[in-house]
Amino acid sequence: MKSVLALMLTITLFSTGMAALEDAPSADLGQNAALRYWTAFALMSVPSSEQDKIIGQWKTAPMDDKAAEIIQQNRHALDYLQLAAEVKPCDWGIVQAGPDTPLPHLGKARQITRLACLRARYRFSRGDDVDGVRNLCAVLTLASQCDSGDSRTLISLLVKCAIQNAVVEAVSARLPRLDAKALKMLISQMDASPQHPDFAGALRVERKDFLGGFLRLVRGGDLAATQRLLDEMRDEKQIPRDWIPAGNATPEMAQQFSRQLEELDASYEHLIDAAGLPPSEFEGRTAMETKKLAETRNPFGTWCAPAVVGARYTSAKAETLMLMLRAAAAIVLEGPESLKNFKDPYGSRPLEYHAMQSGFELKSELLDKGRPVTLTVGGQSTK
Amino acid sequence: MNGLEKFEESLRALKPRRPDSDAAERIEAHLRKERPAIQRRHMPHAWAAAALAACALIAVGVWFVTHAPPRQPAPRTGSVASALPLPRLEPTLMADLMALARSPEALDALLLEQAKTSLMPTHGSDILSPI
Repeated sequence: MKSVLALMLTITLFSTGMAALEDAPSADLGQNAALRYWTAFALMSVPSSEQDKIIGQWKTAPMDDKAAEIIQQNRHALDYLQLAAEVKPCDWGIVQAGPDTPLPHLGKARQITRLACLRARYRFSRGDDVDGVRNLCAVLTLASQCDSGDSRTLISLLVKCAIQNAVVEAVSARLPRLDAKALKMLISQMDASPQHPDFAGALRVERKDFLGGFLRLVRGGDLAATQRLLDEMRDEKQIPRDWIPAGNATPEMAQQFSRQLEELDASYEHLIDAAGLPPSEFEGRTAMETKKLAETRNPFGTWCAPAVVGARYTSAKAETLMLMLRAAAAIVLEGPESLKNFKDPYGSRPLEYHAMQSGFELKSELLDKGRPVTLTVGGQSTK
Repeated sequence: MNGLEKFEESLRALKPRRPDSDAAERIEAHLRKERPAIQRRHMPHAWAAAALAACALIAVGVWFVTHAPPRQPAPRTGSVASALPLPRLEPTLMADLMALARSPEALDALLLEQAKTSLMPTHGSDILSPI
């Protein structure tokens, strides 16, 4: 009997111990990239107005002592950015509060991107290609982690696109002269984490958290929320004045907004279904939905449409530019014939290739403000 | 009073009869003699059964912890955040979307403006230098 009891006790203790071991990694709260990003953000220094101008013009600013000083002042912040990119799990700890959901990391991410691009350009100008590309790879990781998990919104998608576009601009000028090791590092980063913006996913979250948040408040007769909507609406120029109710928020107005938001919610469902269409076709669908809402003088369609359509164009452009950068890296490494491996995501033909004196140009069929999306590689000196 | 009522009356009059005192004493004496023997005979089985049940419970618990499908994290909601009226520069979804409704450039300008809040003073990052 004693031996049976001892055996059972051993089995129990062993299985409990194994479970504790299996649980150990998830209990490591330090393994969260967001914690390192926040350290990096906190270490960014306040720029003087002159420095702010240089940071804003990071694409063209001269790589002189003033640029070096900014980089020096922000070196710890940028080093932490690098450390953050080494950690995969990223939870920003966003507290969902409907329209008041705080997203303080997005502005910080935009700012540190500009600093990192400035440092990458500075390093390229000193012939330090590997470290320059390493900086930009960290920025690409930041881009995808800004728009992941709980933190995904239409805004985070646009920030992700803006960050990606900055990286494309920072590296494309240097690309033809890039050190082979740095070039391979860039290619492996792009291949390891493809950066397609998830526009449909962003619309879905937008519908659930933002629109859904307001709808719950207004449906519950929340007059403060109704008044906020009213105030915001009155500030918008594109909404016809006679569609906006006069006076302060009332329970009847809350009911009216609730009905109008429900109509917008139905339109969002159609837009989510159409999210995969090319931007021009998506724009057509949005116009149809806006027209339908306008027939009942619903102001919310007119209000949301430009932002949604603009986001679709932005995400398509960012997707195209990232593919172009990947294609350009392949061209530099293997020659122009490698272009056949890359299909224009918004065109029926391969990307157009034009050789230039100091590089080349790639062109897509995708139009942005009426002009084809184009990537110039090596056309501009980084010095 | 009819026949049925008489019968009911006699039923109500019936009371449980106390057992004979002599018989009760004999039963008690018998039980006192038998109980320790029963306990001695069944104790090891009872302990084994209890240990087995405990092991089974722990094993089931461990299995649930390690193999059960991951639960969806509960959405974080903030009643405090939703109750506070925030000015437009605050980095909230609402402020950002309002800027986006104006133009993508307005959104970008707002984000950069938001980023400037709570930055370290110039040279502030030198606090790390001695490390």
